[in-house]
Amino acid sequence: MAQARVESGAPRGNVFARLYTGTGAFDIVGRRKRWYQIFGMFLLICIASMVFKGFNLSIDFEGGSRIQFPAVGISADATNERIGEVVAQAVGREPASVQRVGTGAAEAVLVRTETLTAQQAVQVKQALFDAFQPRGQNGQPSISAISDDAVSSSWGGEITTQALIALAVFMVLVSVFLAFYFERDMAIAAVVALAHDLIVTAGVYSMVGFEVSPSTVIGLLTILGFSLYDTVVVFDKVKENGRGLLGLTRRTYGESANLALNQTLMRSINTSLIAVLPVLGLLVVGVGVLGVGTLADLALVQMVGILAGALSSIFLATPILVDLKMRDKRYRQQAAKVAQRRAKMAGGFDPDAEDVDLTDDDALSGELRRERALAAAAGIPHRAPVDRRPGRPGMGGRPTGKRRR
Amino acid sequence: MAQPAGTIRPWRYLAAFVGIVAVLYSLVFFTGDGSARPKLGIDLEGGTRVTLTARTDTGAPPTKEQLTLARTIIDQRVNGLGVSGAEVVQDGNNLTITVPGADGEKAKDLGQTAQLRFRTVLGAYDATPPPAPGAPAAGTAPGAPTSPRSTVPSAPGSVAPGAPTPPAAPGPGSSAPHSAAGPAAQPPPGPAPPAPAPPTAADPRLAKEIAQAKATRQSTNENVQETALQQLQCTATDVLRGYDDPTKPLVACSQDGATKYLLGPVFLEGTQIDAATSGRDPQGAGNVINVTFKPEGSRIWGEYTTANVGKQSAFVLDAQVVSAPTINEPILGGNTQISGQFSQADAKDLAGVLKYGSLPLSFATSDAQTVSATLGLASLQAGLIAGGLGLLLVFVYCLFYYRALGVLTILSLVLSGAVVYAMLILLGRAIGFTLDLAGVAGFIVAIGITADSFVIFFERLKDEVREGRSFRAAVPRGWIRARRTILSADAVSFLAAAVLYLLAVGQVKGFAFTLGMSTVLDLVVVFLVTHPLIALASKSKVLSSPTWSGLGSVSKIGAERRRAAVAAMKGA
Repeated sequence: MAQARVESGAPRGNVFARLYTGTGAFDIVGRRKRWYQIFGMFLLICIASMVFKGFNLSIDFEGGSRIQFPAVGISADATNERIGEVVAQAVGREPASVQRVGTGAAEAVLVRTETLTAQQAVQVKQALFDAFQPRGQNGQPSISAISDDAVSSSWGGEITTQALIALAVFMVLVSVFLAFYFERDMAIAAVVALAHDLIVTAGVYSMVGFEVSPSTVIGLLTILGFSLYDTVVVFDKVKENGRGLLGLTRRTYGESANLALNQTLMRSINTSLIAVLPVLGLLVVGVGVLGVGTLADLALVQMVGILAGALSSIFLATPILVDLKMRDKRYRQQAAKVAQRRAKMAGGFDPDAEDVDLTDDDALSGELRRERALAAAAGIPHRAPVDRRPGRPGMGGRPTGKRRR
Repeated sequence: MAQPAGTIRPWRYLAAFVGIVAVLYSLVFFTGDGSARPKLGIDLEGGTRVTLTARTDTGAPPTKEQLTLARTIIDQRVNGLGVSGAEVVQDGNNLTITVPGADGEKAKDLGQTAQLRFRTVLGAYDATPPPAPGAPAAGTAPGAPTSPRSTVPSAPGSVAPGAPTPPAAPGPGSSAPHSAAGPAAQPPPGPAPPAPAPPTAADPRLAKEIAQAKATRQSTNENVQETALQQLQCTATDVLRGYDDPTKPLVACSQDGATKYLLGPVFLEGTQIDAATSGRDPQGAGNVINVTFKPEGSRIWGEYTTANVGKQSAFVLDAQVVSAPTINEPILGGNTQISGQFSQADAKDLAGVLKYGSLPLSFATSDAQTVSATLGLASLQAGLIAGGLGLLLVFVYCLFYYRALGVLTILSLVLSGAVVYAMLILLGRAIGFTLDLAGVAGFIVAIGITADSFVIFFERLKDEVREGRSFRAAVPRGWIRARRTILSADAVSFLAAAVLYLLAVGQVKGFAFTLGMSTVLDLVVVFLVTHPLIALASKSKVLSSPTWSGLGSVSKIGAERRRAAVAAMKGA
């Protein structure tokens, strides 16, 4: 099938050109066993890492305080050790860490300690101010230039619990939505791909040892939308291509799905790429300028998630869908018929082979007619005479909405 | 040429969009304060945010009424701070207090609002290491001037009948502990290491700790009480906060951590307080707090004070002693005056604790955050730079990939941004929506979603052109197909955002809100701007030429296919 299409006169360019024009034949569904193996192995690695290595949890989960003040303009002897001593003197315990974050004007000193009470936080801030004179917005030393954040140990846990509840609810709702909007098999395949994205993202976090903060958990949840976005785009085309398929012997469900994949491949890559670009900006700024915090946490997890989502929507969701469909006897019988017909045609020219698009033309022209009727009812006059342009031969004779072979 | 089905009148849609924008911006400029600045969260503007998590006696989730009442009470206290722009928002079982500006530190104490109870003081001891072993604690603790750090003085004071009866001579009571201060009940030796074990998240463990604390600190056995007194760390977070058993004695710290008390069972609940006000002491220097009790409370208080003149009684808030005045004389009729060396602010605070102290719930501070204006500004700038960078990257990609269509993308994105901005300001006014850092991140991420719907449309156009249609004929057909995909994809995105907004707590709400709002506005822009613009472009000869539309190579395929089809027809 794929070969037939290349013969039909598409420009034989490099991979990019084939991608761009969407006629490139990448046999993705056919090699699904291989994808399953690759994804399965990676999933196992991820799960193993989560089980055995665990996560690098931020203070929000264990409780703790963060104190941050601008590093620009503070007294010269403010080494990290010195800062640590000042904090230790103020509250009688060593800070967990002292580090510099961010760059340029946004460079700051970040001190982490065990959870401080409101009174202790005030003491530490006063001590730090006395020792280092951090400057506020107007350039004058000011104690209000020091930020602090005290998190109880239960807070991160509560955020996570709520997030997991939200995750469960979302999974149920989206399954119902997809089952109604598409089909049951598609809903299952999409949710499996979604689960994959979540596990892989969590696994990557565990393996690389990125810090997990409540923002990360939140970011993980918003991947849900993205991951499904891609899958929905592909399945929309699969559904379109699959209409009336059973009545024909032109191609099997797998081939039809693979065709849809190829046709939407550039779309998937484009949507993922465009989704990643702003997140990339967020990551660069979040890490580069601020160093730590909500922006960086959100961006990083989304980045990983979107990439995982793009891969799974192409290499996992549709292959799973095909396998689910092929469990249906009707689709297997149809596949057998296709094979029979192919054998008969072997060597001969298959007139149907060049027809790339197996579209929902009937449905589409029905919808177009309805739109036109609506427009007419709304009193919009026909504009055809105005729009008609002379001197464009070859177009006018071809009615839209009908295919001619 | 047949009338192209699905043709729309692009100008009509564009006009509708312009109308919407005009309405939004006239609302922005001519209603409210007319300032075109969205309401910023404290992490962008600087300020203090305190998240309080409600806990009930039974451990069951608090009811809606309880939370609403608690919110009202805390709201009153926040207003009492006199900081403009401060507000309290209920978020699940949490109350979030936000105070903009630099004077929000006080807000961190507001969460101490909880059950106020009256207990007899059986003994009071200095919580700091004793100057000399064996010295009785008498005189050192309750009578000593207390640390000014605490917002509410924990110690000196005396109670006397209020206004109707002339008050007895005010002044610090001769507040020696009247009993049980045996030599064995000594303060603990040396400063013990600060208790590192934070309260647990998991309820079972917490319950166990509470049970343990109750077993020792609420024991009726004197020996156990002594041990508990010695072991009690006034610096650690108290697990008994709001969990103390009113029928049993209690070993507790004063609020400033300077004094430890051995207290008798609760004889009066704070809910019996009708009102509490602070004012200048009419009899002399300093300030007093006037308390009136409800009838039932008035009777109990009268009986108790009659029987216990000269003794100390403790006002215990959240298992911490707020104040332990000495009873100067029997107080009948319920009007009570607490006098002592109170500053005006201290008196006001104590009156507040007495009046509002009896919340139906207790609160634990989950997150107390102060963001300096400097850090807020840095975050805001970073957010804006990130957004700009993200937009730029998308612009460059669209121009490179879609050429003239890319320009339409950029235009649509910019217009979408304009609508989003207006909505931000209006929502800030209407429902108090504040834009925080997570919200900014939501918008940046939403750039991708918005641009994605353009991509879907354009790729559909390409499909049509590839099949041999002209750009112009492709637009209505491509639109109908793309529309379906865009709607379903956006529906999924919106669903995710809505579920997050409704169920999650904390900063995620801002993120989910902006993400969901952008998704909806994306639909508006795609329907009212992008599609009409494309339809217009498809009628322009220049814009629809293959070079400009970036559709050159696919239209070549389309042309070839058309030729092949014609050839096949002829051959047939």
